[in-house]
Amino acid sequence: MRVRSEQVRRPRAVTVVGWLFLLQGAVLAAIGVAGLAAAWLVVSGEGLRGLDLPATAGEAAAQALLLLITLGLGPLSLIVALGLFRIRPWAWLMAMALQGVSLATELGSYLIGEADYLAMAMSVLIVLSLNQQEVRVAFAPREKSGG
Amino acid sequence: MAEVLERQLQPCSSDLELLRRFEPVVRYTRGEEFFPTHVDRYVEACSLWAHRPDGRDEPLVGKAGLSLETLGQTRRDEFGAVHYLKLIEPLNVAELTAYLLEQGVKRLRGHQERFRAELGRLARVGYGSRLLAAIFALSLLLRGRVPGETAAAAAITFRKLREQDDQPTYFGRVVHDDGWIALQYWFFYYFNDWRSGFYGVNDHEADWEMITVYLSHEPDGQAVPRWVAYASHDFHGDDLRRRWDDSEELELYEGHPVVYAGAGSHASYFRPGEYLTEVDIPHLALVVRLANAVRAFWVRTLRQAGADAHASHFNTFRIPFVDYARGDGVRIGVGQDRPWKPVLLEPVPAWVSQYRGLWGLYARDPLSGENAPSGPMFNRDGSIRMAWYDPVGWAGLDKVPPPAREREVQERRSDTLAARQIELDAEVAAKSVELHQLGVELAALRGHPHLEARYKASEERLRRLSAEVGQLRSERAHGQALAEALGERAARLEAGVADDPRAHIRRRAEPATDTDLQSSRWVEGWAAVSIGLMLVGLVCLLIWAREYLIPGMLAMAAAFVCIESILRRQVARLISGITVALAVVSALVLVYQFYWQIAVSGMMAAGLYLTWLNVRELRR
Repeated sequence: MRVRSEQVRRPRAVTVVGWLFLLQGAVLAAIGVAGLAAAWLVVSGEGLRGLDLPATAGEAAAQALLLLITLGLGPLSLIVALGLFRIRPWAWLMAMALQGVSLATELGSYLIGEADYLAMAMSVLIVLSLNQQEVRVAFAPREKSGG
Repeated sequence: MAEVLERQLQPCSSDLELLRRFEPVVRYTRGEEFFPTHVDRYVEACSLWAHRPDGRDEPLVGKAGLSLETLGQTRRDEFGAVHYLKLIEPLNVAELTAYLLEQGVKRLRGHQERFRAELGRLARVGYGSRLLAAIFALSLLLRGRVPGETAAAAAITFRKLREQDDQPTYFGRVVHDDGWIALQYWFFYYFNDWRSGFYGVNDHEADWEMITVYLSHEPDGQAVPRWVAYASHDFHGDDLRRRWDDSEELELYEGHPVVYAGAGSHASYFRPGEYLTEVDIPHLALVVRLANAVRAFWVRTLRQAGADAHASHFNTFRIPFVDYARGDGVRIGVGQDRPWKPVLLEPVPAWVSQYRGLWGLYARDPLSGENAPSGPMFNRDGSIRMAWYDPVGWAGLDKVPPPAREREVQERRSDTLAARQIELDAEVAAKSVELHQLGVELAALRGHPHLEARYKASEERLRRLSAEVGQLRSERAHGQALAEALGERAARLEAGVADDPRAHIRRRAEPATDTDLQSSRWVEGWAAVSIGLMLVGLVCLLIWAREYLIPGMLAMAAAFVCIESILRRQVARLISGITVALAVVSALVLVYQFYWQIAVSGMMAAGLYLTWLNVRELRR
């Protein structure tokens, strides 16, 4: 079995999208770590001044869930970026799924009047890049060659 | 095989003998009720009617008075009148019950001759096509159609006939045209029960089908089989014909072409299998054009993967039907279950040449699918069929010289070309001399203001002559290339290498592959109930939750699509499809919100790009 990346040339759009995912992963990881640090400060009771504490238990639970999602999405984006660089079909599917979730959230925000147009535009560009014919061909599952 | 061919090449004493020598073997699908038969008893059991333009139906000849002779009598009528035969009288309750009981018993006993659809047509296509199929089925209630019990009545009548005369019949015709001998085999069936018997498009009384075998006249007097053409849904010209020696496409049984007849439709196929056919809906032409334009923009301009990149080639705006041509039922022909009885249509009988009406019920179906066909010689509108007046051109063979003439035709073409090349050489040489002279003349005229008028006239002549010489040189170059191609082909044929037997085919009917048919019972069950369930769900929403109609419909559609994707194991395709759809919606939102900024940015980018191009040119 030969390594897939040796057989398929990586389209330029994939490189760009891969870097975007890498950047996104890094930012999310940083946000997650910062959130964890803040949570530790809240839990340990140290340096509470200057932090907005959740008013209710529900709000606290929502913030904790958001933190968990952010913590999960960071490494996931990094893994997807690596998969994209190595032209792995699963990475393409995961990238599309992540952008699907992102677009659904952004459209929801738009409907309630809290649109983030920059994020929306970025997601649209990523999806259109990933859906290009040469990208789809590069990520299409192939027969494994022996030897 | 060689022995069979040798036997077939023996001289024939009559057209009938020639027809018998190449008569087809027809293989039907298990469950087929109707087989080719003679028309005489059918006509005697019919009455002749006229449908008037004002909507009235008037009997012309009653049942007792109709025969092939009386049918062939010339009948004048007003414009817009449609003459038609009517075979079936409605069954009474007892007859219909008896028939249905018999069918039910057969089904319960798992009768060998019973038809089983296996994977249904709806499981083979997507939601769009299924929805259209549902609308098409409902439209039958409004369109004219053959009444439901007619197929049963026809089957009963046909069975009675078979008790009297069970031998299948074909009507043969031999046409000599342009070096070819076309052997036409016409098959008459009492009824086409494709819709009621096999989930197909239509039912109609009477059915005429045809195949043609093409022989070439050889110099030694032999007639050699070269091509065969089968009439089939929506196929025309070259696509109808296969070469006699193309063993992958054409099956021969002891030198007889094998036809796989569609169950109920009786359309002819070269290979056994299940054929997914498409029926166009004329009123959707605008929608189809719009969808094609959007698809072209998406795929060509945006270079995006097609919306149906992983789907079959099936068109969403056409209704899917399956023509089952399995060949696992009755077999007719030489060495089969039942032999043929041939009837020669020579001289052409009056019932063929004079009766231009329909051979069964005129159902007033505007789409014509449920109206009976006309006879072998005519179209439904009374005009003569191309297959009748030009059997060679009908299968696109009019441009193909018979092999005995091939060499002569090729040589003649080469000779004509060579002669033209010589002419061109001479013309180019003469005009080049003239061109040179004009060039010299123009050079001499320059600098003489008093000769300006002459200069301009010569310049114009030179321009025209130069274009002319250019055209001649181009023709000569193309002629040279053509001569080389002709030479190559002649050498190939000389060496005994025949042309590609399928080079002429643009579109051919392909039976479903094993992979196409691999679908679970769950998928089939879901395909059968999903559209109906969706309608029921819509009604429930309208009655009990009208205020949530739109979100409810969206949620229902999403749930249906998810279920279908899971059953078909196409979750990945679903995810990418949803993401792309969300991206399109988001892009539209962005365009709506920022159309002015997008326009300005676009113009700005274009301006900067042009400037960059020009500056780059300056720097070179």
